[in-house]
Amino acid sequence: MKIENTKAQMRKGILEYCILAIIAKKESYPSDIIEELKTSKMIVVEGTLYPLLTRLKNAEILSYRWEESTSGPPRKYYSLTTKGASFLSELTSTWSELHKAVSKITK
Amino acid sequence: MNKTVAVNIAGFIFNIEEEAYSILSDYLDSVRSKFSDENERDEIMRDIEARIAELFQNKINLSKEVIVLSDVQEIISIMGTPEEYTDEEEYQETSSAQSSKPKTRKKKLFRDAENGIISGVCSGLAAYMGIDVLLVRIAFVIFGFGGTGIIGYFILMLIVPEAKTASDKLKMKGEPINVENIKQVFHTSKDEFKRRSHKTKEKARIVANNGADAIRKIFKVFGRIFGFFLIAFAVVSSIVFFSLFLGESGVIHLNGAVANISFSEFINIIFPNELQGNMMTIGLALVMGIPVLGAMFVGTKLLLGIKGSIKGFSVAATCCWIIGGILCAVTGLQLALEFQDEGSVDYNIELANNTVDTLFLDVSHDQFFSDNISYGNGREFQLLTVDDENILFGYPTLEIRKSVSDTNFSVQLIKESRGSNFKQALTKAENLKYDIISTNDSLTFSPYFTTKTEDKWRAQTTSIIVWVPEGKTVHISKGMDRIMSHSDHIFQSHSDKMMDHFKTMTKESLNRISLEEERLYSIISESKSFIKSALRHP
Repeated sequence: MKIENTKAQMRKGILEYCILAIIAKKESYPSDIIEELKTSKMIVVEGTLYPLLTRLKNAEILSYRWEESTSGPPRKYYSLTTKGASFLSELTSTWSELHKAVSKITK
Repeated sequence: MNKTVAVNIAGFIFNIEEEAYSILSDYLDSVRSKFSDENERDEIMRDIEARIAELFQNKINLSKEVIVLSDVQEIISIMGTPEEYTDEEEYQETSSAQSSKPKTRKKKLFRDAENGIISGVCSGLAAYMGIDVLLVRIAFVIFGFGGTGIIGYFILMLIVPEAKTASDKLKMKGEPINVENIKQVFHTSKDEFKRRSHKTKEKARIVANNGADAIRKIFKVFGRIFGFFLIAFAVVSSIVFFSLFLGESGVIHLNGAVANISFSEFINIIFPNELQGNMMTIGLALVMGIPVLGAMFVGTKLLLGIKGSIKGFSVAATCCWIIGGILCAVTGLQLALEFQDEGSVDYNIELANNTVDTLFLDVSHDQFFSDNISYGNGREFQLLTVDDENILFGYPTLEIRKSVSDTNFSVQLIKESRGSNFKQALTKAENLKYDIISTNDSLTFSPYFTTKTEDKWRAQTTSIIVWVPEGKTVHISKGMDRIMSHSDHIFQSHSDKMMDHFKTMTKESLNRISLEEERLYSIISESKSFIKSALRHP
């Protein structure tokens, strides 16, 4: 069980960064984001996503707009705010620093 | 074929099988409970429901109109288990997610009709309490001797619901409700049913159920009637109690005595201190009031068909009643101890002139008690009333006896009282006040004696003996009927004719003088009173 914990911890930190990166590319709704993550072999269930998105929205990093749908309830399409954009760039630099450090340590 | 529910998810209506609904409902509740922040929680739940609605929409088409268990299962695997929704801070605790809490869920008491013998009462109880069915059944049989167990079983059978749906069955055992368990329950119940439908027990159960339904209906009707009578009883009792206890002009009966005082006054003069008096009052109020309250409560419930009760009410009420009983018993006992010893004092009353031949006996007029007495009561009695400082006791007892040692009249006064010890009893006896006025040839007795309220009522009595030597005569006036002793040995019979007569003590006893003389004397006294009244009204 313990290894699962650690793995989950690793994924968790990264997840937020990945999600923001995906949304930065184009505005998306949760299903889209899941698909994108899946193709990149980052497996995540929708349940993890919704709370995260809402929290980011409440922190004014994301914003959304409604779009009506023919096959069901209206959907929320998320996009980055300016605050979110700077947040993302900070994360990007942190990520590359970490990446460099870990690569070096595990050589 | 299964029952479906119509459910609204994010504003869209879906038909979903009952079991699937159960699972979905529990799932959403579990997910909801993962979020501690109220503001975010509602928004997140809305998003999740919207997504679920979207997914459901994709499943519904012309050939499938209903969401089934497998669909819900799929949804859960797509959305993730509730554990996967956890907040960021809680992530450390998810180590032992699956294994814990099998039994800490709330269990509901159901009748396990499948596994039971008659109607599943014992099985249901066993499942709820987590003990073996056999133990419950044995307990019922043991307590069943004398019919109470059968009645108890019957009552349980009527009020405990049967576990019909799969989720009921799971709740009965305290199992968590999820897809796995429901499937399991379904399968076992199918097998069970097949097995049982061949057995005659099934038939017996049907009969019992029908009987129970009929009896249920009868109970309802009787319940209403009974309820009405209970309320009537409660109302009447309350009125009686209130007028008795709070009324100012009460009439209290003691053994053979009648008191002209209210209940609260009575408590004051009998208990040695206020605390005991209050405790007795409270005790009595509880012992008498709680059954009345209870009758009112149950009566209303039965009459109006209201179910349910205030939690712990009957327990609290019973406790209060027992406390009341204990209070009464304790104070009653303490009171009894106040009466345990007796003391008496004996005086010889000095006569103004004890050498006369005829002594006239009379009673002074009394403004307290004359209205309350009726001649002819077979027993000795005292009356009681209270003025500001004193307790007034009505009507001491007077006896006329033949004097053996003396040639002159003598009068003896005996005062008696009870008390918690001999000294106290004696003091209280001495404290009695009683007046006898003696003039040349007459004695006037007061019709009542008094004592101070501090002494309290301790069954005080006053007795007077008039010793009449042989050959001497007494005249007993009409007013004396109030204080003459009724168990007098000298007079053979008691009647009105005895009064207002002369009695001479003869050798044998105090007898009536001869009939002729009696007639003569009565004529004389009647003409006397006639002349008096003629002179007054010319």
